[in-house]
Amino acid sequence: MSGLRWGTSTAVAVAMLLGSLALTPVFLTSGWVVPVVLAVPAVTLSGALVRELDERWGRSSTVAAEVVAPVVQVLALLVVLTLVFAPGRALLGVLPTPSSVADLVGVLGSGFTEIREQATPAIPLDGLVALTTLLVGVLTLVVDLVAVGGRQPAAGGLALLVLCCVPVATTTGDVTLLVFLGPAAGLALLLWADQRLRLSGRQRSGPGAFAGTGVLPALRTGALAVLAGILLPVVVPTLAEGSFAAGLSTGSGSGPSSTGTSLDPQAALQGQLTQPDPIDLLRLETDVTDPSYLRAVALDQYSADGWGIGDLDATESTDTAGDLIPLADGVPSREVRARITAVEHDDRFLPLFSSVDQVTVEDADDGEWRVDPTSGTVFGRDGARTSGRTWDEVALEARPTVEQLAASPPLPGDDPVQQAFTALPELDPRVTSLVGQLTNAGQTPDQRVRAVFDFLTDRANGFVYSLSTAPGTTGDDLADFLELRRGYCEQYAGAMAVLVRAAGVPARVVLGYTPGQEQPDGSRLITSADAHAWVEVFYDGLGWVTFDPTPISATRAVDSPWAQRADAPTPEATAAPTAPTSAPAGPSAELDRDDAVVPLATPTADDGLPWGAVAAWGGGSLGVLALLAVPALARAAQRRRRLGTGAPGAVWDELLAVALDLGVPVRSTGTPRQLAADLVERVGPAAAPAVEALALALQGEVYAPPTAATGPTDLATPAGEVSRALRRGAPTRARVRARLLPPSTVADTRAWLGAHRPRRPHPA
Amino acid sequence: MGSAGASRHGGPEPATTVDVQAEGARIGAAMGTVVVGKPDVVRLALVVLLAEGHLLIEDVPGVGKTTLAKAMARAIDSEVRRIQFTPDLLPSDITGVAVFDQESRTFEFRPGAVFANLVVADEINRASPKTQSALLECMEEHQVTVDGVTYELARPFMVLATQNPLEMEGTYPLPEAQRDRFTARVSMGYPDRDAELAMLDDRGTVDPLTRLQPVADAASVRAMVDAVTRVHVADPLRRYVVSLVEASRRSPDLRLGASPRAGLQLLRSARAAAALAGRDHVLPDDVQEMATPVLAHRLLLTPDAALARRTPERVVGDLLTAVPVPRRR
Repeated sequence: MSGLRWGTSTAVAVAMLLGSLALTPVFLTSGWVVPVVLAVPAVTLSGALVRELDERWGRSSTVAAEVVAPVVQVLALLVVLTLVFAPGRALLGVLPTPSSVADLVGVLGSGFTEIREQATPAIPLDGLVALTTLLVGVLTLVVDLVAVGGRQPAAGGLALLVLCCVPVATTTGDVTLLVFLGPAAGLALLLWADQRLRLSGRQRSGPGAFAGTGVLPALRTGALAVLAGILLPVVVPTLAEGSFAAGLSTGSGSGPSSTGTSLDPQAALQGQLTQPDPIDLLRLETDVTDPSYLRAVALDQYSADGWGIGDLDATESTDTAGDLIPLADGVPSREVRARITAVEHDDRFLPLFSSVDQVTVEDADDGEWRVDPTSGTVFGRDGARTSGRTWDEVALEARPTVEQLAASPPLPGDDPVQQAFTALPELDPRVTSLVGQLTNAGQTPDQRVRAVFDFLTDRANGFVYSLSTAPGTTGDDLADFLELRRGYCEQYAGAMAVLVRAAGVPARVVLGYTPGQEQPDGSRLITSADAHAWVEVFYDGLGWVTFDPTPISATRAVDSPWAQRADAPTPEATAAPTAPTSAPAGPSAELDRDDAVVPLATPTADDGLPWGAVAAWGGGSLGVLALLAVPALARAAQRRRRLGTGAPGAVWDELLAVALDLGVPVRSTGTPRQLAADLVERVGPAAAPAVEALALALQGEVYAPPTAATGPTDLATPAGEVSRALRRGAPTRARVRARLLPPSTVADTRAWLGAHRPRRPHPA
Repeated sequence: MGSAGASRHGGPEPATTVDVQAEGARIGAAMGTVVVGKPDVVRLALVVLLAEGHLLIEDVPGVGKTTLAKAMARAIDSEVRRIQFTPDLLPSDITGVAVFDQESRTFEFRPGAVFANLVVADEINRASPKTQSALLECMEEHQVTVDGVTYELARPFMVLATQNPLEMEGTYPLPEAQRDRFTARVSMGYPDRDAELAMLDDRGTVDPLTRLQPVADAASVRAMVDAVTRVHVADPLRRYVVSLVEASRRSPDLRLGASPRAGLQLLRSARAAAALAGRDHVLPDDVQEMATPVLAHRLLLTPDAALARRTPERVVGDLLTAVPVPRRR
């Protein structure tokens, strides 16, 4: 049997590794692979070793191995986690010590933060990978327990479903085939192991029946399943993606539904950002490699209802040659040429790089597109829209230096820009007091702006990206955001603009797009997932300067040297050696910039929980459940092993264990006849023949002379009959206890521990 | 204990010319006509006979101790001697004596009472210890040595000793060492009401003993005894017996546990019991059945246990519950 068990163990390991392939789309790079590849065999191997040792030198009560094995496996997993994530204070870099465990807990804790902050595909930071390794390790433990301990490899396949669910639940859009192929291959392997185990148990497969019997039914069942899988969704009405989330909405999910092809200044961007399938909006060809944001429209009016668009001045046409939205003199700038094509974009605002010098919309009527220099917006007149259009732009992007910004003086109070762009309604007192804390009137405008900017971008302040905004208690959206510190780009941008205005510096919110992803042909594709909002602050002599307080992923981030985020890496941080004491630091430091968020989150956005927390808690509870299930599984394995041997002694052990589990009084030290009498008394005359047959088999086996040939008798059937009769007669509570925490397993374990406990020699 | 199951599973009968079960049943039935309402006692007597042991029948006077012994003697057509033990009984009365023959001018051995197949030793505890021990030596060694000459005793040889309870007057209690020689001790007990009524009816007219016809002879009993020695004892049961006697030595209630001889005789008795049940192998039930009669009279309670009114029988019962029956080869 032991060869079989090693085979099953190996199958579990390979199946779990294959299943882990499903996690590929969740991560941006393959940094997560090595720990997972270490953890899976560590768990299966340690379990197999414990069982092997127990079989060789252990006592007869093999149930104990099934209880001890998971403990050893947990330890093995801990060793791997220590080795990879917290070797600093571990013994020899491997053996966990209290302090290394504390380090590990720190890493795992930072993993939860990373899960909260990152969206998929995520960068495999330490904490996140540690959590992933833990999840896969625990799953492997569960599968191993079910497959090897419980001798039910097929049932272990359920855990592969969990692996499958992670990318399905966390990535948006289509799921790659790999997500299914990996676990499917793993499941096939487990099914094969299952069949192999069953056939070997019965010894009915002929020689060379490698695939075993039942291949035809298997193929038939598989074909039916595939057919059903294809046909059923056509017939059965399904819920549109995200419907669950909408149904569970507790936040601001009730906004107008947006088609995602335009930016509605009045509506939340959330619509675009939660599009399950990002819509291709724009194709961008430009002569710079690091294009900045494409502006669509500026929101320059703040009222109690939030940010809104002001009146647009439609006097100026784009037909004017050059300097449409002029740049102040002396500001460093770069010329950017771009050709933008609307794919499915359909809006009255033209997405353009800032500081438009020239813009030419192809096939446009004269004066069809207008420029509002105040808000820096280009828009179509008389219902002209971007749909199907292509436009060329020449922009002179401002590239101010930090010194220039710092030197910028305050605008005089009567300046129209100062008046128009610092206008605020009466603010919640908490907002004003926050501004009072952050800034003071003696500071330069730049100092004030940066105080606000740093406040929003410093991770220490606990701002978290989330498309769901839990309902606040203050009744003021801004105050809620600043209190709950949970929101997405619009709230970050809106909050910063208000705070900057409250600090007396002109500011506005801008809606637009991040420059999208570069395509193989060199152009860039901008989708609805690239919708974004940021802040422009007016500096005297320099004009409008972009600040983006929203944490944004590395793949979308646009570098603004004049507006470094407070959470950006400093040279010291990158150079600092990995300090084992500071758990979230270490190798992740240089990636800190990136571990921010892609505002493209998740179908679970609306139920108020980030996907990572769901997955982690799910994995955690799964682990707890698995540990709780250990006694039951061990008992099931024991039952199967005992009945599988068919030996009368083993079958009686099983019957007595059932009796003990159910609290049926049986003279366990009695002779077979006494046991039979006790059982008959309990199960009644109906099952008496079965009990008698079992008692006779035991007597014949153990006490009769070996010459007396006792033919192979089927004991499993009478044993099953008696067990059922016992169960029928037992009260529900005893039955439940027998399932969950079988007293016989507890007793066996206690006996095993007693037998294996090192004894202190008696003092002479 | 029903033997229906065992016969179904017994496999081939042992290679013996006698059917121990049937023979035993016949003897038992014959004895049963005299010893009314005591099948257990009759059976135990048979077991001891087949185990080549000796039976100590202990009870108050008048409950049929001697009748039991006589009934067995009658049922088996063999040489039977009965010795009434009295304080003046001499050892030579039991073993025999070498008498000088004036004519042949040689010493001639006059066999004593033990030269028989069945010896009924009535009220053994009324004789002096010296006489008692003379009998007990014969029982153990199955031979008598007088003046340097050794005489073999007959086969089968069984002593059925009756004994009044020790608190009765005029008794010399059997020392432990000698009690140990008896394979089993049985207590007759009073007959139940119906049996007693029937007994009164019968005895009024004719003594049933006189009507008892022999149903077996010494040769057939020898064959049965041989058959018993061939009964299979599985290793687990040997271990079980050893565990039982070991446990008796560790029992906190006992001053003296069971001797190795006790274990030997327990196993022999279990064999006989199995054979009487028609089986060719011993079951743990046989061991358990024989444990109390075979072990109880050899055990000495501690004063505490005696004060607590525990009896050796109960201690043996506790041992049987405490020592697990081996259920694996």
